[in-house]
Amino acid sequence: MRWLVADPQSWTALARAGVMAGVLATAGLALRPIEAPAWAAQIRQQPALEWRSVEGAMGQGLSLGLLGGFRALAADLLWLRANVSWERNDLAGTAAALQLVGAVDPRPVAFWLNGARMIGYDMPYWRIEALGGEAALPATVVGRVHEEQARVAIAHLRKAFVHHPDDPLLHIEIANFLLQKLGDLAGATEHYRRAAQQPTAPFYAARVHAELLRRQGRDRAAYDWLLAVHPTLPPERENPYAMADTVLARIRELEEKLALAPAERYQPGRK
Amino acid sequence: MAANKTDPAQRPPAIEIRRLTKDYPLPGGRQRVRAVDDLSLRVHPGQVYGLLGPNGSGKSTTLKALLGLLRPTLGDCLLAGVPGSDPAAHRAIGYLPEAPYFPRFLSGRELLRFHAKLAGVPRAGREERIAALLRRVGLAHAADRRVGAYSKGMLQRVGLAQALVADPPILILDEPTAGVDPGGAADIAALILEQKARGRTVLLCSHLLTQIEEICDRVAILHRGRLLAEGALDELLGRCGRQSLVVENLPPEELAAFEDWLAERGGRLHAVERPAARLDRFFLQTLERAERATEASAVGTGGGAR
Amino acid sequence: MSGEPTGALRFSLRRVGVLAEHAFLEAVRQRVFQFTTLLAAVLVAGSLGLRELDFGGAELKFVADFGQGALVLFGSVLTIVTTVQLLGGELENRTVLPVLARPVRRSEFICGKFLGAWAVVLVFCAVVTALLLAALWLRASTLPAPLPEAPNVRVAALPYAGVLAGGVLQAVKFGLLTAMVLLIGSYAQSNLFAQASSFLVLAVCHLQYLARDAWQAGHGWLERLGGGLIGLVFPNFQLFGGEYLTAGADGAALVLVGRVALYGLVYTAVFLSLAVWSFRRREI
Repeated sequence: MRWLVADPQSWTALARAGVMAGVLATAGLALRPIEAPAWAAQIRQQPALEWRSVEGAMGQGLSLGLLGGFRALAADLLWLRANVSWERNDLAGTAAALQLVGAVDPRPVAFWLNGARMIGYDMPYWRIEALGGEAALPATVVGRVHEEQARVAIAHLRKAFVHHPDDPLLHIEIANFLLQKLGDLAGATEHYRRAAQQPTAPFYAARVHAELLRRQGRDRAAYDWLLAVHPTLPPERENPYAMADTVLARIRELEEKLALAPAERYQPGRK
Repeated sequence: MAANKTDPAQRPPAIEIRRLTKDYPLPGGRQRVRAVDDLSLRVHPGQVYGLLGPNGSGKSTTLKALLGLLRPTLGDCLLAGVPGSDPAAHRAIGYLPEAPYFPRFLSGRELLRFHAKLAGVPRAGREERIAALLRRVGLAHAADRRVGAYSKGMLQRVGLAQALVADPPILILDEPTAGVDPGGAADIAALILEQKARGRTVLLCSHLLTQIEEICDRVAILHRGRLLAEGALDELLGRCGRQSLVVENLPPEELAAFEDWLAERGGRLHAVERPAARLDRFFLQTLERAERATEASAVGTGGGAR
Repeated sequence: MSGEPTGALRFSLRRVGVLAEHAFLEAVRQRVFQFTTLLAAVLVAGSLGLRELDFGGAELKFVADFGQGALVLFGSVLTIVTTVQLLGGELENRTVLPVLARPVRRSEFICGKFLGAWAVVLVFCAVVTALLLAALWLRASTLPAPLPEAPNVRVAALPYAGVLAGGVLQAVKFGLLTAMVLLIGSYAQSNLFAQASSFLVLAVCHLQYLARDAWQAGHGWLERLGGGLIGLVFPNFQLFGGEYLTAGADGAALVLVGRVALYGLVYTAVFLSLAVWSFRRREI
């Protein structure tokens, strides 16, 4: 440090650096009111990073990309990695990549949905193959593997609700796992109800909820549900996919089944 | 008494360096290297002034201080009365740096156009001037070739052209003939003398003493940053009042009679030497003879049919 | 010969323009510009090949992310390498000597370098953003229309105005980076030092928000003071990410874009002024 003290040139250089730092700090301070709303909007759009989930992957060069504001791109690249592992039937690699994707950037719903499908529909077969194949295993073991993976897929989807509480597709995906893999009719029914109540729900969510109620023998509940849904549907000629006429036909079937008096029956258009 | 404007020495100097001193700090800060030490000199309008010295004598430092490219530790430098550190002073100068590097991606023509625009040469007549300069320095055939493909000699020529592009009253040339063949060096020397004939002031650094001797009016000799000698060439070389006669076949006894004849008329025979032909003159003369012979044979073979 | 009036030499936009044109020409004729532009274009075009993978409605977001990533990554490299070469290269090769021997102010020289370098990067941003918009349009036109079965389901299509605004933000950021690199180059003694310092500064600016967090929530006075200083001295490059544009370039988002652009331009002017101040003292 002696040369630093003894050399006037060094003092001059230090003084100049000090002046520059002072000017820049003043500019930074003056510009804070201008940048503050933009910065607030910026961080609002970025969910908090789950560091615990990505800690294990930090050594893989992920940290700088995440810190530097490249979360979306990092997640895209991790998704690519997940797909590469999926093509190779690499269960551990796929699972790890899917977990990282969700932790790095939980905003794209498509990642959660497709990830859950990999977990719930593809991974059971990989595990069964690894255990010797379906023909070599008892049916109970095969069934248990499917159920386990379905539960893992549902847990994966539930994590997404933190960031997408209103997304009907997540509810629908959970409902399908409950119905097809776990035989949980009541649970599937409930999730289709939640899906149908969301602002961006597809038309079919309401119809499927009613059908599931009917399969549980809850005809009255199905009937009341369809009575609430039908008035909200556009006419068939405007949107055939809303299937307003089909819903009306279901209502009539239930009225017959419930043996309702004509005066009690639904009159479309009358409030 | 009114100043005699026709006498260059009476006019304000075109270039004036006053007690210039430049120190460079060494790493560590305690020691310094003195590159130029208390240098003062004046170059009057219309003079060709040579700055001589071995490598490291402070010539380039002096030129850079003159051009405001570095700050003097002490003293100052003026160009046409304006401090050299003031960019306004650069309106009056054209500068050729030592071993000039120019952007490789530009053609010769584009390079001159760039410098002409910077110097404020009016658009009207600019292209004609550039073309004329390129012809004058012998680069018309390579005007649209990229500078990166130029030989060292071509770089010197295009550098000279860019120094002249704004027709400045003062030229500062650092080693203008470095890397140039003798023919090219002779061309450049002729060009400098042309500028002198037009009343331009030239300050040039060179290691080629024979060239300095041919074209400079005054010289300064630097060594380790100090001025060792300065003055008119004839005075420095003691050539004032002397002539050289070259005679053939003069017997020794006639030589003694000739010496006596001189003494009677107040003169003195200073030295008797064998004159040696200068190699550069011999080289140029040989080339010229060869070119004349080539032209003559071409006329002879082609001129038969009339 | 010169048409310039005698007297003091005033700052001239004409001379700045001549120097900027010269710098632009030099940069464009260098391989690094052509190479990085080609690389970025290949990356954007390559993202269209991802159609083999099933991303559902988020595919367009994927293409946009790749395009934005290419713009940010290659744009940053191009900005630093080009600017260092334009200033440091001139100083190292001594091609600056005949230029500064002209009636040219050092401030004009630096401003000319800035405009020339920024112009190169603007061309790069324009090319990559245009390619990205074309890639998005191309891909969107081949995607099936949203099913009326689910008419209210969000289609993950990226608003083109948002992508365009994002390109503008990156262009402003690269202008700021150019000015910062010029400041470093104004006193750096070697191109290697200038480039290394510039990349370090780029990283610091991307992580500046961590310093601000340390100022607000750090442990110990040293951590807080250091964080505060870094947070004030270095601009926040993450501001230019434009996350608020993902939902579209509506009025509110455009106001934010305007704020960030103003922030960037003011900071650019400050850095450029410091570069001029520093370069005026430099001995060539």
